[in-house]
Amino acid sequence: MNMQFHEPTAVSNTAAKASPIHVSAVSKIFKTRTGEEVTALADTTFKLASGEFVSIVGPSGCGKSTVMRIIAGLIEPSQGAVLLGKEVVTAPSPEIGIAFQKAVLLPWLSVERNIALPAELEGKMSRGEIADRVERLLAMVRLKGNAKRFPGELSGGMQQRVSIARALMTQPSVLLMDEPFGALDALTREHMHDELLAIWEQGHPTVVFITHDIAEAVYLSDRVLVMAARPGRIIADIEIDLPRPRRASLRGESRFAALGAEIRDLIPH
Amino acid sequence: MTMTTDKAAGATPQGRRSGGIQNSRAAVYAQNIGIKLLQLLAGLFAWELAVRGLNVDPRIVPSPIVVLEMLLSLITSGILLSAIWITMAETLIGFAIGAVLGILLAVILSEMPVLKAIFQPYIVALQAVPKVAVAPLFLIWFGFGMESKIALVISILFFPVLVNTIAGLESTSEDQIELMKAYRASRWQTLVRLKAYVALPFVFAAFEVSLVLALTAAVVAELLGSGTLVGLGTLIKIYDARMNSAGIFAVLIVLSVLGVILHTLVLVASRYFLGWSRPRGK
Repeated sequence: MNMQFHEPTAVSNTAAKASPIHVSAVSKIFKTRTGEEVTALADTTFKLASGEFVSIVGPSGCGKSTVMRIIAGLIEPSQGAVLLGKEVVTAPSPEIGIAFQKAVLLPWLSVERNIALPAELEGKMSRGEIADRVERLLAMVRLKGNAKRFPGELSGGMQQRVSIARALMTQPSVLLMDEPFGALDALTREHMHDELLAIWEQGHPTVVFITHDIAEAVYLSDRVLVMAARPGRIIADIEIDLPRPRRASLRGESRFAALGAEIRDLIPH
Repeated sequence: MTMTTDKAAGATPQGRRSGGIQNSRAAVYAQNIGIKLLQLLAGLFAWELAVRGLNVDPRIVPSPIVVLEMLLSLITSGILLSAIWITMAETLIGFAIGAVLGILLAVILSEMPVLKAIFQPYIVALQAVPKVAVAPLFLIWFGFGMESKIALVISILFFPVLVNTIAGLESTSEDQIELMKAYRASRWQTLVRLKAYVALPFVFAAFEVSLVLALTAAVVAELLGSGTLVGLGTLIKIYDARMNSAGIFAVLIVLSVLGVILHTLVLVASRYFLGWSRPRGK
């Protein structure tokens, strides 16, 4: 946690080493009100290496968010288990930072207090450390000068960046993101991609990124998992062999388009 | 009137941003007060005219001049101030106790669904009882002093505060609850850092309705039975016994002013505490 003080120029986002994630034979069955059983997720297994950036794409209702919530420890799997490092996930872990589809900022807290929230809840950092960290994060998500403003005064893109800064507050070694840019316009989204990659390259957390935007998944990830619905399952695991660091010019290259097309063909309509 | 608005509209952009807005705001306030004074005077004038023109018996509707004279003598004799003091004490003490009890019970019930399930039917039943009908019982239990008045005030505002606060505490969104869960907030942290804030607008809505009701309750309790303490309700009773309509009208005017002041206080407090819940301009 104190790494940042040894190397003051770099912004470290992660604790010592990012944990690998092992989703092992996980399934989730929901009961509807009428008592019917719906298989949201059927026998799913995959691994993420330490510091790997993996996206999960698929049509809506394919269980992407369910996978993320199970990894996050927010819901229990019906069968199977998730390993974070060597620990079985049973409840939300302090190693994990989460950014949701909606920013879900608390409107009565200023931007800086919203970002500080996870640390304040955890109660491990001193006031000084929190103030320091918030300042770095504000710079990172380009919101310097907005610390004292309130969520209601911010645009949707700014709110989402606050929520990403909040997810990074406690220097999590694992970052779970559930369509964090879904509500943003295309230009802001592409800008956020580069910012997210910059953040990731600084600390190399293990990232699970949920999206239904194929280009987004290709641009960001080391690997893309493709899911299908009814029952929710993984139908492909595509290696994205594009060089890093990735730059906006990549979007025009043929390899980028080819990977996108390959994934699009896999997604059932 | 039109002059001030024209001035504001014609001001330079810089002037409007800095002192200009405040100046024009002050002008608007002054203008509003002026209009209200005019309305008041016109109303009094119409009242006086009606009483004279229709030759109304002063014991039924006294002329405003007589009422104002009465009000003046009440003020100079010091009776009014001590009556206001007593009635306001009953209102505010009852309000404070009722609000604290209502909020506390709301927190307990919303945090413990089992207790809520047990108490819910009692709450519904008690809430349905017209509180004023219970006032004689309060007189028997607590005597003719302030206690019985405070008890009625508490009983009137307790339920709106309780029910609204429960609704408020339970109005958190699933996203917010999941956020707190994801960041491993304890139950207490979720209560004070999330639910309390979400409930606040509901609590203030209850205050807004019930503070004026509390004043009514204090007056009604005094009307139903009062001892040596002379509050505004007691004053009305005394004037009623003497067929002194002017005295009753004078007290009614005071009550109306007090009601408006209390309501304004709640509005100001809610603006202060709920600033975040209103959309802001940039």
